[in-house]
Amino acid sequence: MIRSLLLSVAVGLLAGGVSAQIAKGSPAPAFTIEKGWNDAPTSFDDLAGKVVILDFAQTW
Amino acid sequence: MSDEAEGLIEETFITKLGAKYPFIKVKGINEQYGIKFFPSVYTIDTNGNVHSVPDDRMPSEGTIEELLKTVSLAPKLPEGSQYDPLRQMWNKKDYLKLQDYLARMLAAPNLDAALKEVFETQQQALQKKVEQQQKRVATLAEGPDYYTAKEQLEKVQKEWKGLPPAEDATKALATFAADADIKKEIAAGKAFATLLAKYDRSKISQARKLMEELPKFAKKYEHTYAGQQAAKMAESK
Repeated sequence: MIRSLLLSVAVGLLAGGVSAQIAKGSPAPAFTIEKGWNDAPTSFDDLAGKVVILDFAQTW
Repeated sequence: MSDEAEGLIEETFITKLGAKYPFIKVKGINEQYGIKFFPSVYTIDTNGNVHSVPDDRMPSEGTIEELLKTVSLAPKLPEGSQYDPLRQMWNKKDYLKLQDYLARMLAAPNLDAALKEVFETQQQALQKKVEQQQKRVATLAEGPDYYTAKEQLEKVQKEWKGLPPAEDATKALATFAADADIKKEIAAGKAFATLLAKYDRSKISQARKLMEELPKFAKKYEHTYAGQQAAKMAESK
């Protein structure tokens, strides 16, 4: 099992308004994984107890 | 999001950039996480709390190493040094030893009820992990990327030695070795990995050279998964 997980999140162009960054030390909001590649986790709960690097990428 | 967007992700990041790390699609995630620029990186600690935010820029290797030190692979255990052997076995991934240890402990006469509960929970956690790995092995065994599957299955063989996931992996690898078509797929996958490793795609001149090589590769390995990946990559320039 991997100790850390580098997760790239592909972000859609549609999401609009800018909301604030999540504050350090606060719980990372849960999200629903619609599709994954490269042995990706299928649910947010799969990340429990791991160090997670969320890398937000944009397709353009 | 639409299928088309999924296709775009696949084409851009998986096929063209050749990302090997887990990649996910999450609708509305940039709003949820307040993303203002790309690339943005958050790190999250083992307790599920945000450790660094995009404004900190890319986390350094040092930051990540510090974070990794806090990782315990053991499922939740009560405090106390009597559970240190268990923690160690989880962290060292000594699954066979862990299984034997738990069985031995549970077989002990006059076992304290609280301890019994802890050991049983641990046994269930291990069993769940075994089942997850077996499921993963079954998925890998189906292909179509037999080259990557072979590499992953060999890892499972080592890590789960003496336990069902390793047995399943061994069976799957034996099937691979006995099947001429799969052997061809693995050879093509290996050749493709070698081709990709030859060029540094962040340099334009080398990326161009690779683009010239891709159609040749796709033709040579026409009816294989790697050949198809090469063809897709060549089209996506």
